[in-house]
Amino acid sequence: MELRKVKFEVLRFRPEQDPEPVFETYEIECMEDWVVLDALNAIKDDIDPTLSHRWSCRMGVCGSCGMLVNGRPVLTCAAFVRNYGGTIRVEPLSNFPIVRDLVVDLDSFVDKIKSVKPWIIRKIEKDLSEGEYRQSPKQLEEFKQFSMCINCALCYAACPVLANEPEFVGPAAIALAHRYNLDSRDEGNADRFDVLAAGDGVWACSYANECSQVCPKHVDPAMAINQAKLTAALQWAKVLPKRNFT
Amino acid sequence: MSGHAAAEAKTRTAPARAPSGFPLGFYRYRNYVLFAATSFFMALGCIGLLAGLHALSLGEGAWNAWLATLAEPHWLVLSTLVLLFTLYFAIRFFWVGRKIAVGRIGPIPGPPLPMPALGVLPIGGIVTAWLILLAILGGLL
Amino acid sequence: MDAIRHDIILVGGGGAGLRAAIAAVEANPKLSVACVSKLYPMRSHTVSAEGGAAGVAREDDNLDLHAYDTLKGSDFLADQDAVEIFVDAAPKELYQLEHWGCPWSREQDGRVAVRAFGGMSAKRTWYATDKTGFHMLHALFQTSLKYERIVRYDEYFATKILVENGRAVGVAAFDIRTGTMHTVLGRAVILCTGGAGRIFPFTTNAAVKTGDGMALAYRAGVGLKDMEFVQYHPTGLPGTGILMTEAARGEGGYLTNNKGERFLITYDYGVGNKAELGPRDMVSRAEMREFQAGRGFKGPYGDYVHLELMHLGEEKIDKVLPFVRELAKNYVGVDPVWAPIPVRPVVHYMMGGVDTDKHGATELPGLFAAGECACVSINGANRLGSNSLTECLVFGARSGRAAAEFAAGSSAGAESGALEQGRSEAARLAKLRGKHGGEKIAQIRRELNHATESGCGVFREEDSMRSALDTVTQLKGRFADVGLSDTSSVFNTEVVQAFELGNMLDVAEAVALTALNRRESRGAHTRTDYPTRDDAQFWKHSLVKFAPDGPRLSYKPVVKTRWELEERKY
Repeated sequence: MELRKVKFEVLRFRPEQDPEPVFETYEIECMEDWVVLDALNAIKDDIDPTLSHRWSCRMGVCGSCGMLVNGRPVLTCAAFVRNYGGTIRVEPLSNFPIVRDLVVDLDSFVDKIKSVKPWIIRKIEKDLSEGEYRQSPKQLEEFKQFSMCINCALCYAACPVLANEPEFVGPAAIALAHRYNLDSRDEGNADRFDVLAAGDGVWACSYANECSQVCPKHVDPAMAINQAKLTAALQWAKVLPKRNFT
Repeated sequence: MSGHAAAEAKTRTAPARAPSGFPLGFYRYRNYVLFAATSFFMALGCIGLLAGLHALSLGEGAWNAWLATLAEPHWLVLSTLVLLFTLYFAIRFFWVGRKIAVGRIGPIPGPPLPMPALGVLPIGGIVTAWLILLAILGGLL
Repeated sequence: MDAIRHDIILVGGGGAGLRAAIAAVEANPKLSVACVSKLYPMRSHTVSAEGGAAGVAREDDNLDLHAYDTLKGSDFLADQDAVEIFVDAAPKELYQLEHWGCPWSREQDGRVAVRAFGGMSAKRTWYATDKTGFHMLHALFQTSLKYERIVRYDEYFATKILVENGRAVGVAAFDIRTGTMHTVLGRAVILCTGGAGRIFPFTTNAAVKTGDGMALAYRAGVGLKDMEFVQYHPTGLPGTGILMTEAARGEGGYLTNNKGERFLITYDYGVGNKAELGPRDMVSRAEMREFQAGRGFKGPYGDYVHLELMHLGEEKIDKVLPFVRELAKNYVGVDPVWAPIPVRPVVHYMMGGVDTDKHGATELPGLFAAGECACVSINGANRLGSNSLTECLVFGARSGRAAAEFAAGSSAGAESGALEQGRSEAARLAKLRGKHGGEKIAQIRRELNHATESGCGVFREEDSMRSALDTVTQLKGRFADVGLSDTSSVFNTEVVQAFELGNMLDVAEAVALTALNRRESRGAHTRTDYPTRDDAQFWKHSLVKFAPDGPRLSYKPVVKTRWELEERKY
């Protein structure tokens, strides 16, 4: 198999020694079928064991290895070296504080996921002995696409709104909330309303559509957010007559 | 903060970096910035129309004067620009936004919709558009 | 060093771990559960499971049939009482997941759909297209978020089980982010850390599957059971080892050799008329024999055969196997709608693990284990596809409830010894950071991978296993002299790799030792020098225990209830 020499410019940040992130360059022979993650692992194994990055499944489903490659947020396990030129720039995800090298602080992301109550909410639970909640393939299709999110946070790295408003709940979390709102088994629409309709919720989205462009699983969070705007507006109209305006 | 362990003793981080190429270094972000900028022109257009409405309330003379003003060359250019930007807004909104409605009345389209035709606007185009606009506004005032 | 205190300490946040956590807090809402995981729970390897989860769901099926299939698949090494519990609880657990929002694929009438799977005599594999594990894990993770009593310690790496007065009372774990070692104390510990596929070079397993929980238990004096049984999945992509789910065959895919023959029916490989729906060990062996007979295709990563899906058509592939299509297109440049996918056997699953009883309890009071890291055993010598996701649920829940009961019934007790152990773990971590030495982590790992593959592959024989065992023992010696470059305390992944390598070496030693001493062929353990099953001598579980001068091997009986041993033929 053919080898090709590729130069990797990797953003390094070692909080104990670097005042701010700096680029470090590695040159490495890459196999034709390598992905960028393979190259990073080869660098860590054989050139510089101090390089830190997250990865696990290397098949595009665990969501660990999102980084910027030549400026674009991608899963490095699905970004083939052969599709890039002789120099490849690898940086940590934008819009997140950098913990070290290519590792970013995702705590805020996971907190946002939790904030939208991403679980089935029902008034009355069906007993397990009665079996499943019936759900037709058509009802499943309603939300299936939005359930495909792997929490890789690429959409957060791409979102221009988040660059200015870090408190924005963000594409993945809103898509997830919308997924549950559309699920025929769920009755939690009203419970999620407060988070979705707040200032940092769906209305903060100004439709850059960039989340959907970078989503590796075609979840299309921009569609979810803007459908959720409609849901939120309808929910608002529904509770409006009951509001106490005094 | 709940669910995960308390974040005492966190380590020093480097601040979050803006998305690469935002706002004008990457064509998709440029398209988005242009999309956002259309609001300015649409507002101008709306003000113009409100002025017309106001003129109408003042009587025939004022109305005719307003019509005459609209016919002046720099007003024509401005109106054309408002039209272009409104069109751009409308095309992008409905191009991207058709996904919103479709989910309700038909099958959900799979991958995100690309906008190839709009992807070619160079940064120079935006700068030129702004310069022209500034020149017109300067002329007006 | 301040201790962190909870009632139950969970190590590992995958399918079994999250199920255990939820079961524990539902059983006793007063308990608090610490979920210590070296990665964010939704990254756990359960996420990669594709095909489905088995549980009786249809009128034409019954629990006895599922139990019999499982036992036969296990080559009768599974404990029959455990299997009965398993098949009985399976449907309930799967319905529970349905109630928690798992997007199972559906029939037109709204019932959950089931598909055929290898070694299963009825359609009983529940699925969510071919991303079943992903959907199950995310449903579990998202559901777990609603319980305030489940406290996550994301990206904490556990290095030791703390034992006080002969009881497990917590773990020492360091925060990868800060590099600080913590003593996490509780009244019960549950290990749900998954398997150890990474001791092999070609594996479907994620990078994190380094046998951590197995090694932790082993070091705490608990036996590892049936470690010689390593499942090879017959359809992994050459090179990367990425899994092409068995559901591809369950939905009607074929395996063909370089003559275009469906070799599973052309030649006699014991799978009978099941053909592509034969169990994994048999199909993997059939592929290897095709390679030996020169009927494989040649590629840069060795021989392979073809997985053909073209006859299923684009619509069906997109409907039931979209992930297979996506992966094949991305990683080998093949669109299965138009061309066959190259596949070969790759290491997939450890049937063995921490020796537990039916409740997930180990011999060390207070220590429980569930999921792939445990061995109850329901998988015996060969696991049937789609039983493992269900196993995570059934035994995850059982161990969670058992741990809750144990924790509620025991006092916190003395902890000075545990705190002392925690301090010595902190010292060990500090010493390891930037430790000088002549050996490299990557080099030892490569040699380990090479040894396990040459000694403990699909076909095994005495000499190669003995040399593999010798090599692993030597590597353990060399590991003592490993050198690290990274002195940082912040997100030091090199230190994590060092701990993982230590764990892998312990597990690999147990695999090689048990494999060498099982002089028969049973299930996934196939010896060319002892080609038949020997019930008289080896109808027993092997058990490896830690001793300072090297592992000790013993055996324990298999539990039999209603089923007689029979020849395994399909």
